Amino acid sequence: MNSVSIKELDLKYQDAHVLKHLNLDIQKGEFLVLLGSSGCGKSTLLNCIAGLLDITAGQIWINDRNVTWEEPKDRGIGMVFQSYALYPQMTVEKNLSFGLKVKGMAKEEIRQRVDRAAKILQIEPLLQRKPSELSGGQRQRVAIGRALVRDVEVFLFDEPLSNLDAKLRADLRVEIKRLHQKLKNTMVYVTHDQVEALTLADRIAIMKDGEIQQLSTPANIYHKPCNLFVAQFIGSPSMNLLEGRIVGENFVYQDYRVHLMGYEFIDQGDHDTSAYLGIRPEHLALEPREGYVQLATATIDILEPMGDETIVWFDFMNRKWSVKVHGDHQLTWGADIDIYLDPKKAHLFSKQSEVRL
Amino acid sequence: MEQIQLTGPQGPKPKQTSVSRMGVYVFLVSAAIFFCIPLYVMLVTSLKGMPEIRLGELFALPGDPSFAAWVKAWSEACSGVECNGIQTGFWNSVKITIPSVAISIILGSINGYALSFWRFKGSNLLFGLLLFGAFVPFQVVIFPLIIFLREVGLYGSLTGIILIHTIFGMPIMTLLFRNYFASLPDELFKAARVDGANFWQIFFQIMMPLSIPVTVVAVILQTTGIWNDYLLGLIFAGRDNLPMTVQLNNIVATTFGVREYNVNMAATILTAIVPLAIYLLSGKYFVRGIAAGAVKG
Repeated sequence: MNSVSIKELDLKYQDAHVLKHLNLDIQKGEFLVLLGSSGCGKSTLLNCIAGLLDITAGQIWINDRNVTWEEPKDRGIGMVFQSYALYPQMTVEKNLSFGLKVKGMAKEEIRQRVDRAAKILQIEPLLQRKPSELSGGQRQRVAIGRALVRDVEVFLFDEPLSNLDAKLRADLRVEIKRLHQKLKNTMVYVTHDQVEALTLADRIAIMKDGEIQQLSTPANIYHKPCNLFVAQFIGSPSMNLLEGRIVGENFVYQDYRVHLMGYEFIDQGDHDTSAYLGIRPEHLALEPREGYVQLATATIDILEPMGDETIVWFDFMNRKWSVKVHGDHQLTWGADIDIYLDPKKAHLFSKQSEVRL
Repeated sequence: MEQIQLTGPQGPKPKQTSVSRMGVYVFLVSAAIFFCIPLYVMLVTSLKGMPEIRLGELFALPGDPSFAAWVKAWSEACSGVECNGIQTGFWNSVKITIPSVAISIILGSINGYALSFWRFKGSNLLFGLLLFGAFVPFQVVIFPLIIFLREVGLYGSLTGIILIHTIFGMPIMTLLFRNYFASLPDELFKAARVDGANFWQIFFQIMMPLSIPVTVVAVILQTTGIWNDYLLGLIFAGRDNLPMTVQLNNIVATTFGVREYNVNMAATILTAIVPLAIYLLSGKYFVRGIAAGAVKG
């Protein structure tokens, strides 16, 4: 059973085609993250699901009901915004109960629901305060509470953590995950932060220019990116790239060749084509290991020690490359290093279509 | 613990009064004095008796201050054939100003709210037309308006003049409120819609309480504007509802018998006192409201 279904959704402004023939099915109880850089249409899509934007074509189904023409309040959704959007003149309690009062719900039930939400989010001591007297994290909790009291099937989050500082963001991220495990609601979560996406999501939809590039589990997105854009977008530092050709079992660049032992091609058969070879910084090594092949010798350009690991930057084939090594490595700037690569962990993309091979 | 001795500049930077700064102060003080002189002359003249005024010592303090002229201006001065003082005009102005201010602000805020949050087809065009209205000199439309009011039977009535003030206040009130509402986060409105509030619920329960600062500005703008109006009141209010400004002119311009300068001055101050008081009491909010709109608009 699908909780949210988007069918052939199109959104056009005068000359801009913001969302293009979008199709997306979200399972009941699933945590789906819409990930993309700003302007890719992810927030727009969320607003369309919420009914805050009129769509040009297509349908939106929520809980097997066609809600394309329905008002936001009738869609069975709750929404949490980046700027919290709490009503500044109302206390926390009034903020939570406003939607229920508007609906004309009985006082006793309103009180029960507010109490329950406040208990879940641990904001009971704050109920009589105004939003201006709360910290950023507390405000965002109240905003989540406002969605919670509505007792809806689907939660929509629009970059809820982007206005918080790094420490608080990490804390609240865990709490949102805990909340999802407890409530088992369907959650659609928009973010530009890949860490949030990878840690929270059951499935991630990566968007670019109003189209979904890849819809899959975090592990699949990370380890089997379907095209060059997804490969470059996910991972920090981003994936190293090398231009060359595939000839039989080998990847050939200039006069060198890398044997692609163990690489799983999507379609079996002969490959003889121009391609990119991509490799994540943690799948390179500075010393020979089993299954690794030597790639190059280079000079350390920059060292970024992060404590547990160190990122080593070097120039290779006119591109900036990076390799992640253990933090214990004794390295000095300007030293020469050997680079080894694990072909099983490499990624090959057609140069022409940028699709995974 | 031993105190470390520091040499060179340390601690807060010493405040210095430079020559240019002094120049600015001198200019500001002299400008303030210059603009206060007329008020001073009016005040001292209104407290003098006629023999003292005839001496021609404009700046001298009154020898025997008396409020006789003020009393006369308020309740006995003659405009034309009636000699009831300026009080009739004062109450007329109150009767015109309060409903006009209230109605124009209510309508302007609803307009501004609808135009900034509920974008409908042609809303930008409507806003453009309203803005255009703010720049049309009102003298141009007076004659058509007279005919219009005559046809609907409101010419020369209290309702008529209130209607006129409401119409002329609409463009600027709409602009003021629209810009203020545009500065509020869009997500607030979206949140209220997801919560299920309708057009009026969002307006009355969310937006109105948030628009107190801009409402204060609107009250100031409209009250002073409508209270100080002369032409519209003269043309549209009718004989029984002439506002204070018109009556003041009649008193001052009456050329019958002796010109009582002290009474004229007192009547003028009485007329000006309402907008003056509003500025003095709420000038702070005025500046704040205008600035808030300007920065975020």
